[in-house]
Amino acid sequence: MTDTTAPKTTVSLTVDGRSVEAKPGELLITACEQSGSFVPHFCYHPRMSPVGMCRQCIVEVEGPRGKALVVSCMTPVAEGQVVSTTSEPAKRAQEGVLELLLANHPLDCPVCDKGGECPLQDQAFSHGPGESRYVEEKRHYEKPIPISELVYLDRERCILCDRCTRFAGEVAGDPLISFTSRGNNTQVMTFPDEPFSSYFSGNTVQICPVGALTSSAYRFKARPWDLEQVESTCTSCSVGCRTVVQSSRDELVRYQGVDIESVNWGWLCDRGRFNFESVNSKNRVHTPLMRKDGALVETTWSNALDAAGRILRTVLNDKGPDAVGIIGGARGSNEDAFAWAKLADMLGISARDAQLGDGLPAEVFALPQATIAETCASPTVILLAPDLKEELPVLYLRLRDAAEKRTTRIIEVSPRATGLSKYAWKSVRHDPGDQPRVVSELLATPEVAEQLLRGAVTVVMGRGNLAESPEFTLLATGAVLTAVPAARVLPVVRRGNVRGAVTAGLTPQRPDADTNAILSAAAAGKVECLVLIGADPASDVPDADLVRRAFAAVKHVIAVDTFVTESARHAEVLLPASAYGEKVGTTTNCEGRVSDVAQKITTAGTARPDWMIAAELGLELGVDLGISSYGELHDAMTAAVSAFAPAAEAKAVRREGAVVAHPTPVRITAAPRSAATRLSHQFRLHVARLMYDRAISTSESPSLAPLAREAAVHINPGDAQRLGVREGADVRLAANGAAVVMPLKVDDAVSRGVVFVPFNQHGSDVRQLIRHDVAVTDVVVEVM
Amino acid sequence: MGYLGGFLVTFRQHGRKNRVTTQYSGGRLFKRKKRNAPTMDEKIDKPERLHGRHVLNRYEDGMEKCIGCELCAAVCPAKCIHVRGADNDPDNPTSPGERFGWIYEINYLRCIHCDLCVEACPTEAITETKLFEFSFTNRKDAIYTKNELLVGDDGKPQHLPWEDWRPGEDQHTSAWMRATAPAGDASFVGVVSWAGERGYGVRPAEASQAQADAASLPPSDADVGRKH
Amino acid sequence: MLALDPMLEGEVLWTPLIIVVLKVLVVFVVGLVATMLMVWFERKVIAGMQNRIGPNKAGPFGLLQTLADGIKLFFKEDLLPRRSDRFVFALAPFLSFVPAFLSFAIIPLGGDYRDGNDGIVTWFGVETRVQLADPHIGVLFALAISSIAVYGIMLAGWSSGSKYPLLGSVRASAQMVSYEAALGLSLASVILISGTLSTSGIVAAQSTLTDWHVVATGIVPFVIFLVAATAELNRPPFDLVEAEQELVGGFNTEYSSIRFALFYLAEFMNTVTMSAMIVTLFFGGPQPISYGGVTLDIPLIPNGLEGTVWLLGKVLVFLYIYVWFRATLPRLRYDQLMDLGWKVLIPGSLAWFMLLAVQRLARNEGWNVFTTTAAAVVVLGMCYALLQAAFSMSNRTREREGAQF
Repeated sequence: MTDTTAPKTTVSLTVDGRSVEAKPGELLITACEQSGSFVPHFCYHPRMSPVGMCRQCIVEVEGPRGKALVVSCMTPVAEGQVVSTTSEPAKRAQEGVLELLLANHPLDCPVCDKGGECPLQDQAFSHGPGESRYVEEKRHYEKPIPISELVYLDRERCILCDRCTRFAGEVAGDPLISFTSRGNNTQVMTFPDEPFSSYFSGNTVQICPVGALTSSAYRFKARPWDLEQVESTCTSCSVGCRTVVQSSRDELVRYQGVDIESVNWGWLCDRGRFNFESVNSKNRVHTPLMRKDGALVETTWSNALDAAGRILRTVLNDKGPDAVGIIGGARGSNEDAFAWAKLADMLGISARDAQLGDGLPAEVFALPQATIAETCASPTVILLAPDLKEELPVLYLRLRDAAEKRTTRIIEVSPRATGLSKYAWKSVRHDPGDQPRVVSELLATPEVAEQLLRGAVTVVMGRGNLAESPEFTLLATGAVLTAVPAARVLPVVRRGNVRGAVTAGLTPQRPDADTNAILSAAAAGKVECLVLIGADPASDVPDADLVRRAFAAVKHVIAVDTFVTESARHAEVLLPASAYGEKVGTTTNCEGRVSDVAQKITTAGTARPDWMIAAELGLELGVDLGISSYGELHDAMTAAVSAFAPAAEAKAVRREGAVVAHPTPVRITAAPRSAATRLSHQFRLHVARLMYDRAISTSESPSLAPLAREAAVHINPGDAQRLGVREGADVRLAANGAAVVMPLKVDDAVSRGVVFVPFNQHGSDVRQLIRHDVAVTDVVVEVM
Repeated sequence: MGYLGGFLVTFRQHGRKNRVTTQYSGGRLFKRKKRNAPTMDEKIDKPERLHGRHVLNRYEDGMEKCIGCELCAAVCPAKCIHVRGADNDPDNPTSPGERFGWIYEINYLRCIHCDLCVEACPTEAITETKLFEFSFTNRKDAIYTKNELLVGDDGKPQHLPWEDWRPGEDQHTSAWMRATAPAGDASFVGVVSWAGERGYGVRPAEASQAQADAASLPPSDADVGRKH
Repeated sequence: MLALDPMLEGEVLWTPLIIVVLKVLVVFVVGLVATMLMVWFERKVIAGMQNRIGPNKAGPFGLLQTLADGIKLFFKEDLLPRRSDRFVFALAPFLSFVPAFLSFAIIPLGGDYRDGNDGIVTWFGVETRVQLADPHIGVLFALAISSIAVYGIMLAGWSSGSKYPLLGSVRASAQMVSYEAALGLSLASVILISGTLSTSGIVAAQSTLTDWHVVATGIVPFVIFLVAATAELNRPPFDLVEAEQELVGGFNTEYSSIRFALFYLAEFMNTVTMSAMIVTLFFGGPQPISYGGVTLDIPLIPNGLEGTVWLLGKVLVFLYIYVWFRATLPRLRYDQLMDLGWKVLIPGSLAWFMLLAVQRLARNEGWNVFTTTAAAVVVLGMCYALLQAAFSMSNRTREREGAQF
């Protein structure tokens, strides 16, 4: 008989009497759990390397040399293993480990935040000995101590599983906590004078198997049995991490990360994790506001809608639809944007833009696209983006992981060292505006050319510098796409649903109708009415002077927002909108994945979802959008916008979501060209965001608000020395006829000839120096 | 007796001596005697471990026992308890430890007096007195807040205006909790393993079953040789 | 002649009219107050039999408890179930309530029956009887009216539009109808002896203790009437119509507020009325106790009012007996109830009637009463044997077919 069977690609073993087929190289614990035998564990985490610290996952394995107790999280599967997770020796071992773990563990369950969702509690109950023989005095530490603004550490409860330290080191790249001392005194601790101020510290709270690490935002707020939860997608940035939104008594109380393979692997950044507090803020707008005698006073919906309708009708009738500009829509859901786009279509308003002049032109979504997973699997990634660690943190985690695992080589092109610089294969500094030339030259080097041939190439492109025109990034990308025709693009736009809003139609319908153009037209008197949908141009549009002039000249402003923002203060009518967690919808992340956003709490006051406001406003203006429920709206959207067709079914947008259909790709045809070189006495301005700034969701969350720093000028140490200024001294930056005064910071991440100022921070506003029609901003730094 | 015997039985029950119930708030009778009706109401002695209105207890030094752990709310089958914990102010702690009960409310329209909350409490903070006569006239009064539930500085329960407190109703609060050790281990009977309460000191342990039996029954031959 | 009431003979002028109106008012008020006090009486007596106190808060000794309950019921929400037949649903309580009053109208409430008087008194110069109406058909009227009460309950359950009331009312109507036969048949014995249908006539015929129909008809019709009346009233032990353990509230499940109050009152009104009826039919009504020429006299009460006092006393005894039944007897199961009605009471009352008729015939014809009675007994015995044979055969057939019981 001939052996016609294919070579075996799986490993056969026996687990608790069942025969199991496992993948070669898989860990024994995974094989056991997938076959239905739960193995108790603490330190093992599927997304981190196994360390075998806790010894709880001990199982009995019979191999060629007889029976042995092994830790299943560090033992790979092998052919012919006979595994028993419940035999006498295994049970005694598991019970013994639990008894030892509980020996020094304090009797804190009633006051511990983890009680009720604690793996130690659950496994002590299911696999523990049942009684403790420990009658001695347990070890004592001061408890709890804050190791950062957001995280508390209770060393008495720590079972030394190494999860938090592994995460900080392996996953986040911020090894700020580790084990110190030894023996019975081993404890997790930060380094002297270095708090655990990682952008991902909240994840350690989620993965800690006991209540040793707790978050200050959630401390004592509720118990697990009080919580109701629903799965949703975070919309704080455009990564769109999968989360679980938990509430108690109709108030948002916590977010936890959900592990999906395609996006976030269960991790969340601290901003997205803790900004639920802003939804509960008492500064939320509860009722519509109308301007009366110069101040915004509360009014009823009928009055407000009536007023807004009157304004729009007058402007549309007298001056035509081009006198109305719609700005915003990238903070809502796809359906919200679609409803507003439909309203704008029916009214003939073509001047609309979801981006606030601080992103990339909408055409980037028509370039050949890559998903996040594809990006992390490409052998070459070219970064033409802002500091991902500050703006899209979980994408930074993914890329760092790809770089550390050596599956990807990152070529970073940026004016300043970023969080990924130390993981990049090549990190090239350049003057802002010079990317096209730098990239072209880089692509020509033999080393890089050879690398590009190794496989797929992805360009991660974003608006790296708000003080320069986005065309340079585009041209640099064009250079890559010309050199590597098969290359693809991952556009990392800032706001949660820019891609969705643009796809739904909130994008300029005629040339020269983007936000900057709308604001210019408003300043010139051509646009008489501005409609702001969750947009705050006064804080977010880089050209502050333009915004000031626009608001001064425009006749009417109608705002739809959750708070009274800087821009809303100019509004004539403010219609309160539902915030995240208060409405149902879908959102599209930067890779085009549509996933659902769930409602968990009732909306504040009488606020409504944006789409409802659009429909009602339409009725006021005699236009029927034809939508009276969310279901109808979603169906209408997936029918009308072909890109959203994969998201038509409710099941499709849960969990992993559905990637939108890509339109016919376009090409960047313009030749790469750099900005003019700067004069030697000037510095080129680099403005980019930090994770914590004055954004509403951060500043209205009491835990996060203190983390936003003061605006400062970051200068290379060499330049500082040349200018003769010291750290902390005030300097004056002047450009384009304006000047601001800021303290100085010496930062060796900044390259020479460049000054970096973070965007939208407290203190002086650097945006006064930026002009939207100037390609790059050259500043003069004066010592005061 | 046949069919008609039953009639004689019921007929014989007439008369004051046969009454088991008492003239509860006799009303007219006592008003005529111009004495205060409430104090004149005959009341049967309440069983020693009657489940009545809850109180939040204090330790002997005045600190509250409640640590805001929400275990009582979790176990309550009627979902009538709302608890929220908060951090103790280090300069002025309300309870010993990290956490104290900051919000504590019981909705007596839903409470079924099952005392599961008393069983669940790890610090014996919530116990039930024997007061059950506390009707209110509006829903708001029915939700007792922590201020109303907490015992006073002297350790005695607060007497709210609509409550009808009688002497002895604050004794024996949840006495059955002190019959054995917290884990129910019979070998710990009589061993005091609980903290003292303000105003009452350390409450004595309950008699064990064997002692109670010995006290109530005369010893019989069957008792000889029976293990205690 | 409208009635046997002398007041209504001849022309009916103003005074008789006013007296009639007054009588109506009095009967109405007395009826309502009697009901109220009956409820209180029942609750207090049952409490005494159950070693407790009963109502003691509302009013002295809890006398006003019924009033308080009535007021409370008045303020409850008046529900109309969605699937109910509105008109009939609203009508049914009245169909229960009104017949009680109507029956009460024909009961002699007093009058001077001493020493053979026929109970006529003189008020405001007009001779009249102390009862609202005294038609010739008397007790037949009462029977007819009690049949209408069945309608009340039957329609209440049916119109509620839900299954437990329907079940309750179907059971109730079956029960009431079957016991009405027994009622009528035992009544026939009374009529046989008294010779007249009118209530005043029946009362007048019971002048001495031995003339009391309870003695004159033998005690059996009285017992049968008592049992059948208890079943007619849906009182325990025949109260499974409203047995909460089985039927929620029976026919009055869906009723609330005033409608329920009317049913409740109707039940107690009927009790009072039926007790008064029993007293009238069997115990002489307002007749004093007199035997062998000696008549008991209640001191300090004029002769005219004595009749009322006697009536009151006798009615109280029967009210107590009804309450006694309630406190003592467990409820009959439905099949036991039907068996009792059809297989015991109806044959029993029929047989007794036959016996009495035979005796009367014998007396009239001058035959030997003793032998005729003996012969009648033999015949009845054979009938009884036949009946038993029929029962046992039907039992065997049922067992063979595997019926439940």
